[in-house]
Amino acid sequence: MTRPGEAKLKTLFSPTTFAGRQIKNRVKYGACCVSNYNTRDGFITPRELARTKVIAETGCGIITNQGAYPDPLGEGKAYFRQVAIFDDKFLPQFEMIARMIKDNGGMAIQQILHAGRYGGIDLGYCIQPSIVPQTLPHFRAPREITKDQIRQTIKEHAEAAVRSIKAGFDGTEITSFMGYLLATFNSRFTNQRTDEYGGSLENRGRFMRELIDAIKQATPDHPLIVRLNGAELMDKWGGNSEDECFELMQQAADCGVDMISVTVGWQEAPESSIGRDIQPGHWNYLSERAKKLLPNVPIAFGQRLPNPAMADQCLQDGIFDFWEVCRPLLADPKMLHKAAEDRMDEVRRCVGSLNCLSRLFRDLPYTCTMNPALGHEVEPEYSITPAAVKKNIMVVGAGPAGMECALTAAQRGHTVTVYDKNDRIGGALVGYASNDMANRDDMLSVLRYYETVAKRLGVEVKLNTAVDPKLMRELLHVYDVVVVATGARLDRAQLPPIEDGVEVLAAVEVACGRGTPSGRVVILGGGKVGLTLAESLATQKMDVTIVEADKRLAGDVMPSWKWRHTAWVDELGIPSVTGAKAIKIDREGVHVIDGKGVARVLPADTIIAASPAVPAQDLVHAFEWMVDEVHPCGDAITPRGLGAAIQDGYRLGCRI
Amino acid sequence: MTALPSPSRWQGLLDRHSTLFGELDDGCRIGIARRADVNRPGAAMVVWEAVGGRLVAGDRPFPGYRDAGVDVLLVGDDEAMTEISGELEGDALPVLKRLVRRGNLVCYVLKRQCELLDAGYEDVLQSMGVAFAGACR
Repeated sequence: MTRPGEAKLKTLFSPTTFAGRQIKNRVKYGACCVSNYNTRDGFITPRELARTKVIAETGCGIITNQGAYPDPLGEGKAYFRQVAIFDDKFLPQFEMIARMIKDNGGMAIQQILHAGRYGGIDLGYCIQPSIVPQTLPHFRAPREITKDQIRQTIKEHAEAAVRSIKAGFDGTEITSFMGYLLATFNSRFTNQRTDEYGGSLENRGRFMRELIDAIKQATPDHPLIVRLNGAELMDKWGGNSEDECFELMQQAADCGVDMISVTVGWQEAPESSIGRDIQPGHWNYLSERAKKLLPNVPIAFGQRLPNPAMADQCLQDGIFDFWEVCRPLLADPKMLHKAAEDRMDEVRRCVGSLNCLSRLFRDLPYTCTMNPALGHEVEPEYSITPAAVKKNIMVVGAGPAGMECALTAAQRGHTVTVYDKNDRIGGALVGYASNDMANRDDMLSVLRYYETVAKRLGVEVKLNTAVDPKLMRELLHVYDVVVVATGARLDRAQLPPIEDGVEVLAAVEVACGRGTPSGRVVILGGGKVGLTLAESLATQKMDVTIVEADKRLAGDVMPSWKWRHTAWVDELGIPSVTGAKAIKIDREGVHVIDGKGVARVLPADTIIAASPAVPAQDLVHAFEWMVDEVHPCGDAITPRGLGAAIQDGYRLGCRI
Repeated sequence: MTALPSPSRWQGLLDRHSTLFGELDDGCRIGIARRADVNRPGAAMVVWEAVGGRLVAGDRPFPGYRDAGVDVLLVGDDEAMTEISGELEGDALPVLKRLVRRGNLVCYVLKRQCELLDAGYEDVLQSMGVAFAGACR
């Protein structure tokens, strides 16, 4: 029976064939991220298997397992706990993964990942076609690969492909983007060889063609997919042009590759490719070009394309043959099922925070800002199970921490009422979403999700209702549990002396529309709150200056996003005084001692303080002897950010 | 094609930002070369070397990436050289940062992150717009 969403997104959910096999729909789960859930020597762990079970159940027609390195030396190993496939000893768990995927009706593809320029994490060096130094200092110094090593590498890839098929996978995939080995041969930026593997595009593509040929010969009855950049975003640095990228696609197609997955960018490229600042659909033109160039080769694509409706339209328009999706399914593994049931308003959208990638390059297991259960599927404590004792729960604060806790607790059978003094769900996220330079709709989608699912679960939300001890006395013994998710507040006690009659506005309040700055604005605090507000005001042509005590801006911003804020500050010409101590606030403005020890006055008509912030946890103490259980949650424990708020709320909701 | 500015022209920038560059350990070296020259044997490279808490500009032949003998190497295209040349008598540091951001200047690191941190490079690279901490985009 056709589900309502399947009727709406007919093309997306239509079966097709690929490499002579029936595929149940036009969705390919992409191997976007190595998880770092495994052992240091490359074995797959129960944690990984539990996670893979979730991936297998996403409903995708083709599922690509994360990249495994093919060489025993580890030159191909980029990530701290990357899985290995250079020996049969690793195969039992690969067999389990292939079986899981196939038991769920998917085609199983194993990616063979030699990380090249980003590899050698345990060795202290990486191998490349030429010695071109790194631009990101956490990678290793390059050594030039010899021709013997090239032959050996190709042999190891072919053997890895044979192992993949032996383990039960239907086909394999190799990848030429991000600066991985294949990409470094293809690109002029890293390939400056003068032998038959370097120079012309024909020569630079030779390694790729030999690799494709070797794998096709070793596994002739099984499809081979290659991921190739439609744009490297390295051309300013001397990398390939888009035209050259497409010529390489033609070379791969001429070698008989079974599918091309079009990708964008290198890890170190001076431009964004998949972050929140790139609008969804921005890169679709690359896939369209690939499809026009190679009408008889199946094309998969999904870079910065998180929306099933857009994917369905692209499929109808012939822009690609398979929607390749990964991060949206990290954020919500049930997205495809919800789309099939026409419940897109209940999907937790990937907001492009790149928390996943940031953690990878710090040797941490990947997590997802939006999906607090990601990576914890093996832990019963993270499961939403029926509560042994059903309770009446009051959640104070309808921000992400409070709402996450409320929804989770409601799913376990508790009766939940959320109270918030403001007129809408969202807490501080409302302010952030309203002022975000990157993609406001992504942030607003988080609020819409909470509103929609709260209604569906019967969570009562009482807005415009402040909670205090007086109210609690009126509600005594109504609630068994109080969750204090009241966020953080400005610590006014830590502000410098303020002349009588001079007002200092709280940044979160201004961001949420409760306070209107005018004239010259000085913002105290150059962290994420202060920066977001400053950038927003600057785009409205306001005169804004940031004062920050630390010597750098963006101290509390996620590592993957710091560069974005500092770039915006530069582009918008926002003056900032860093390493500065504010010593007095008066009608003149803000008096500071700057980083050089020089006293200055920053004239101001509006002064806004974004820091320091302290947890707003007064109610924890106030209710301690009034309610059976009182739990602080989110920023009310300690101010952090959206990801921590959602994690805290979820874990508490699972535990109550 | 714009020539690589001479060491004496760079010295003004280094002296103007002596507090920033003064954090580098003695012996630290930053090289600057033109993209057009990196594959030309014997082409010129300007080197800023930390001596006695101060960066001093000099020049030497560019021996290739492998033997460059510097910790950080800035390689600029012609547009970069033109812009830098026009600003060196003013404050060229924001120009360097803008050029790194735009991709006209590639900042190669020839030492590991831990070594650069220990040698005092964090603020220097940050001021030039380099994603020092391994930021992912």
